[in-house]
Amino acid sequence: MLRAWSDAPAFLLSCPGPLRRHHAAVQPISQLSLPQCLLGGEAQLRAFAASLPNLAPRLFFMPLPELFSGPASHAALQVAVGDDHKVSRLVHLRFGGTRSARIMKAARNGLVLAENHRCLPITASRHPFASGLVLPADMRRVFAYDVAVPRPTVIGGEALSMTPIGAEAIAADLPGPKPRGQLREKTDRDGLEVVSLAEFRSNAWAAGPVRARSPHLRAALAAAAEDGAPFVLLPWNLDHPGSTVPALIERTLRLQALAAPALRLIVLPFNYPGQTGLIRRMIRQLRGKTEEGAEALPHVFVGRLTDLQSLPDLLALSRVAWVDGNDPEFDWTSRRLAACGIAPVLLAAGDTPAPPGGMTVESDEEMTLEAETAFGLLHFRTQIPSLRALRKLLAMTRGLADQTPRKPAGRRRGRA
Amino acid sequence: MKRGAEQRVTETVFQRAARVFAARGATLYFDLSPMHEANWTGIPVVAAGLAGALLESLPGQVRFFMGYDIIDPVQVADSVRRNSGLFLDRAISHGHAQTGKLPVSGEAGLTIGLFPSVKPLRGAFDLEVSVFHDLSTLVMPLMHIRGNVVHHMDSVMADLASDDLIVTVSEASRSDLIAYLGVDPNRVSAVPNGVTWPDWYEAAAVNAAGAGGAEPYLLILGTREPRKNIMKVFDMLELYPALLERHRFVFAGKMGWLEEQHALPRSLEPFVESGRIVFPGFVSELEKYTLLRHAQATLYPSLLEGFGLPVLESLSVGTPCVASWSSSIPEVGGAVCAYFDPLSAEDFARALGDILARRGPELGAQCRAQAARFTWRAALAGILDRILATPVLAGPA
Repeated sequence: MLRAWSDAPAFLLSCPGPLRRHHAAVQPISQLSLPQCLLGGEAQLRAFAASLPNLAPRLFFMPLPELFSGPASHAALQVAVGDDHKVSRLVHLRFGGTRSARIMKAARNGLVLAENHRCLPITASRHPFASGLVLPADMRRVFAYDVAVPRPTVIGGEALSMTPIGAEAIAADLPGPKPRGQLREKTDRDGLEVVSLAEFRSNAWAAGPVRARSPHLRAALAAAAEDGAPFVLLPWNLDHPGSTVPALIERTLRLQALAAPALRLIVLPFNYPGQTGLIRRMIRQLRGKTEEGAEALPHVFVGRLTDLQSLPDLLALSRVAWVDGNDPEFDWTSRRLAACGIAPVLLAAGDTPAPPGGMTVESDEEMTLEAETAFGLLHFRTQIPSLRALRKLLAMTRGLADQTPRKPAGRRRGRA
Repeated sequence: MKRGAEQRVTETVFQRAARVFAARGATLYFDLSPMHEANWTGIPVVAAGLAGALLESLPGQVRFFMGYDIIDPVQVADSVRRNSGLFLDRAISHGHAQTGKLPVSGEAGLTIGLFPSVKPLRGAFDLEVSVFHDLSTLVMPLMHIRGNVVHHMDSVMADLASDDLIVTVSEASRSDLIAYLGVDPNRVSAVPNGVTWPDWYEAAAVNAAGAGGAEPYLLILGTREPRKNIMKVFDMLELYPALLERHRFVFAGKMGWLEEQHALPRSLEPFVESGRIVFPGFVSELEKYTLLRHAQATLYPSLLEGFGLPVLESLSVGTPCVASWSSSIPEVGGAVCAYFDPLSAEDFARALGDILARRGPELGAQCRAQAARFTWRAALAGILDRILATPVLAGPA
């Protein structure tokens, strides 16, 4: 895959994310600690790195490639990577959304593309990168999980050829199966964080990890043992302004009684840029728009996995996920979840084939979303399940959850 | 090149510009729009520096404008002298500063528009030149408020397309334009900013009440916004609290945006109460000069800059600077600053220790010598030199 650049003395990987966690501008990949590792650019970076074990000593992480410009920064870089070669021989690989693509000047730059921009903004902003299909001029290569997706162009118009990435790079970082009966000891370093929207605190979440136990999750687990309503994971790409996830949560809450829910949602935000504004906005929206208002908030959860060793804890909570088909990363997300043992239910427009290990449900209602973004005011024509389709989806999801293996409620290992 | 030789080159450029402009019937129109703010930092300072140099060097060939109005140069000179756009803005809003309208194309010989920042109008002049500062709104949008990002990004491509010549304030910004936006390298030139203080500031600062007996302090100068990375100073102080025993830390600058991201950690709050950490807020130019002049050193941990004026201001008064090695900053600081990784509090402390160990008259003189390379007259001469090289002016009359 990296054959053309195999002569590089070092590969510098970057993705968007909160800065506060990082304490050096360049660090060996082995020292990498990210706030979320299940989905999005951060997971793609980790999985990609894990799929290249032979290159491990030459892999580094840089939170901000845009810092480097000129001899002083390059000297610091060469000290960090232990190499005195020219910067022009280094390779920078960027993960995450195309709109967030960054360049390391003077190096060779490539983008690892996990997006399929089927849901493009229908209004043009004059921001040069608003469409999601335009890359910085110095981007030289695109490595894609699916080479059949629309090809991005560099600014000015040149379409970049795409090099395929093998399927192993989706799951290479996942832990192997645990021997039966050998459960991991629970410690304070557990990597699964789940809190209800009522318990959500921006600063604590941004600083992370959230170690406090969630009384609302404990109550929900107890209630689930009684009513059998499963937990369903709902990945939310914060870097996609046309996401229907907030609308989907609102509709699901409207459709089911809080006292007797058909299922319970755990939202998994990813491509998390370090600010929690979108989560706060979604909470305000639910509080204001749903009939139950603030009463609904303890019944919807937000979670993240900071350590893949805690994946069994997540699986103990849920083995079914709804995937927003409008999200440009829907395909990678579905495949990743399936590799984790979570059945993806793709809420897709049209005749999209079912993801491996999952199924597709048609999103039959058109909805135009308006988003004020750093890329200007964007409108997206999206597809979302109608209330009728959502009702069927609830029943189907419940059935699907019943088929998947679950541990008895008393042995679940969530942060309850 | 020695300073005297640089000065001679600069003078030659002004003379050449005056001669060529006269021969071609050319007039330079300078956009004042960044200068209407009351409190100047960053881009308004650049605009005022260039405006002042134009008033001094090309008075017969320059017109100033804001919007579609020509502005009285006396009002511009007054604004430059005051270091504030407050009175200029008032004069314009009362209609006292306007002396006419921009000429219709072809009516007034060759017109050259020079824009010190985002262009409020395009295609108004026969030749257009704009100064481009940084791409931080593109590459670090989360460090800005959305309106600011949209303001810059909505117009950037149209501005670049309508320019005959693009001037950046550093090589770092120049290479950003090429790497991100694909600008033709032949159309973009780097011309660094300058620094100039009124002559009487030195005496005023030396005689300022209490200045001689001030406790040792380190100065952090800049608008409080996430890109300035002030949080890294707090991180360093949490790691090395003994620094607060030896120095006060003075954070001077106006409140910017997203300030909550720069909230002081709780562990440092007692040091604010005891006066070891001080936040004076926005300071006037003279106060800034005085603070710079008496500081042990300045700290500049910024994540990304188009230039780094506070570094230059610090060096210009002989005060050493500990600065991030990011983006354009080393272009300004040269060999006299101590540089550090802007994400590492440990490296920051190492660089601070290094500069404090080297501090003394010799380093102070080196700082001044480094800063002397950057003047507004030299900046203007650099821009004029590029303008004179454009085909419309370089060819036969």
